[in-house]
Parts: sequence; structure tokens; C-alpha cells
Amino acid sequence: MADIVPYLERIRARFEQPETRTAFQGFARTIQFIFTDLQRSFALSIAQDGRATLTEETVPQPDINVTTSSDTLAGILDRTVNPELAFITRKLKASGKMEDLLKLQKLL
Amino acid sequence: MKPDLLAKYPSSEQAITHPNYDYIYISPHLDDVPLSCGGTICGQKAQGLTILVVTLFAGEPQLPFSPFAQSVHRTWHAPEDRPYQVRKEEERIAMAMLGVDYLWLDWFEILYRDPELSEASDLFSEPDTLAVHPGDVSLFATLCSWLADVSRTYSRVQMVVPLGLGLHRDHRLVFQAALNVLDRHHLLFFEDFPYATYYSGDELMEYVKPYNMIPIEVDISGCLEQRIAVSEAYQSQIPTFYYAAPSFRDIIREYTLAAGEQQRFVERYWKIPS
Repeated sequence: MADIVPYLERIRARFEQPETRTAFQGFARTIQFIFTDLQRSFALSIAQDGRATLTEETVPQPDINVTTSSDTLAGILDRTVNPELAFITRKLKASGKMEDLLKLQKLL
Repeated sequence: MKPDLLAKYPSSEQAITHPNYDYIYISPHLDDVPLSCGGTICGQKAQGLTILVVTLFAGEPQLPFSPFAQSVHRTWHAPEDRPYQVRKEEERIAMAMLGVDYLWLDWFEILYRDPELSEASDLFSEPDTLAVHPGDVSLFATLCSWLADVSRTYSRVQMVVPLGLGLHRDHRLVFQAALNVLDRHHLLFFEDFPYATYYSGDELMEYVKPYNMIPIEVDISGCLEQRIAVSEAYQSQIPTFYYAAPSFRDIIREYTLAAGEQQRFVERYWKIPS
């Protein structure tokens, strides 16, 4: 099991970069990360201006649900796991509108 | 394609100019063969070989569409009432660029075939499950009959089918039907692009291991730019393939160069030895 908080923080920190913020402007969405091995859930909330906040909570109606293990997400961010292969082999499950998932792909 | 074979299986469009073919490429969808084999086909055309590309799941989808299908259509920027219009236009352009004959059969792709489909992961088979989904048993039987008829009609043709990388249900269905029906002396499997790019070398070897396949490399160095140009015809699909990549051209170059061990650009095929 990986200590997942630093990895999630890396994702959130990308929204401090001007190019990421610009790319996500107008994309106000909440992404729920559910880690089955840790039994912990986090919400990444992206605001209209492209800024993002990370909280440990379960939100009632997220726009995108990402269910995975901490090792898989850590591997994706460390580039030792291919995110698309993790998706099609169901090591990472993502649900939501197709266009939102494509945007998420850019993030991971 | 012979008239009796054409009559037996409904198709929506065809460009048939030869009585016989050296190669018949089987494409699950309106893009797979050009995206995966575009360099090889350019080389074969330069040698004067005759080629037919058959797209199996080209049936015109009918309203009403599921919310998930509508969501996919939006990523294609396709008109909601005729989502395949843009894809068919792209395919015609690609076929013309390759200079090959083509045939579009009328079966529906999984997006329109399975009413239970509700999210992207449903497009893919679960690992270690049967290639034929219970809902596809009847279609699988028809597909096997079609492949058997084609191989009887064109007994000397080399058939080229998807390897099924990426576990897309349609690709897996075609892969399994080809395994079941076609003569292995005349059968090659292509690496499904862009799914193939998701696999490391070890993961790819693990995938082909149960079939005892051997690789066949086709040097496409002289045709790389044509392959890229043909791939660019699929403007509606590129964002869904390469969203995370700096450039889909780079992905093609990197992938084919890796297949050629950094020495040349290669499209790789797989064969079951006799």
C-alpha cells in the first residue's frame, strides 16, 4: 500500500501550473477517488477558474468516480503503470461522462 | 468480392475493383486497419499487390441512443442523428489515400449492440474471461460463417486480423472467430493501434504466449509518413486516442521505432507457426 496523500497532492499541485489551470478553466467538476485497499476516499474539486482543492471525504454526487488501489494510482503517477492499460484491465475504474473521462486522462 | 458472398451478408458500402486479392484486412471498426497497418499497406500497394479492407461493425446506428452512446458521440463532435456520417467520411478518405478496395458490413459495433453498456469500461472484456460475451453468441456464429465463406471463396488470400490487444469486445470477438475458423497458414494478426501502445514488451509477450505466436516485422521506414498522413484522416477519433500525448504523430513514431529496436520503423504482425 502506498501513502496516497502525497500522490493526490501532486495531482492537485498541477492545477497551480498556469497551463493546467488554463486547460481546466470552465471545467468545474468533482472527482471522487476511492481507494479500495485503504478504505479511504478523497474528493478533488475543480473550480470554474481551474483551481483545485483536495479533501478527504465522500461527496454525494461526484461528476467522475475513480476507484482503484493506492499502488495503481501511485504507479500511474510514477509512470511505472500505464493508465490506459490499468483502465482496460479494470485495475482502475473510472465512471462519468466520456468527455469528462478524456479530460481526466489528460490529468493522469 | 464475389457477388454471391456480397449478397449473403448485407453491406452498406463497397468499392470492389478486383476479382481476387492478395491480402484481406479485417477491421472491427471504421479506422482500425489504417491506424494499425497503414505503413504495411502502403508498401504492399507499391509492390502492386491487391488489397481489400473489410470493416465488420459498420452498421449505421439508429436512434434512440443511450446516454453513454450520446456521450461518446459528443467526443467525436458528430451530429446526434447521424453519428457515423463523420466516421464514414473519414474512412472514405483513408481508403482513397491507401488506394485499396473496401467493404463495410452492416453489423453494429458494441456501443450500439449492447443495451446494457453504460460506461467506457464496458467496451472492454474483463481480463481472463471468455472472448465471446454471452450477448454476442449469435453474432459470433454469423461472423465465423462469414470468415469461413471468405476463406473458401479466396482460398489463397492472406487474411490479416486484429490481435485483440486492448481487450475491446469487438476486437476480441474477431480475434476469437479468426482463431476458430481460419487456416493458420494464411493468417496474420496485427497489433491493434493505439491499444498496443499501452503494453510494455513483457506484457505483450505475456499476451501472445498462450497462442505460441511468432512475430513478423514489416519495415515501414519508407512509408511512415504515409501511415501518419492516413491516421490524420481520423480527426474525430484522434482526441479519444491521444488526449494525453503531446502529439499522436509522436506516438506513431515512438511505437514503430520501438518495434524496430530504435533502428527502423516497424509494424509488427504475429503468426501461429504450423
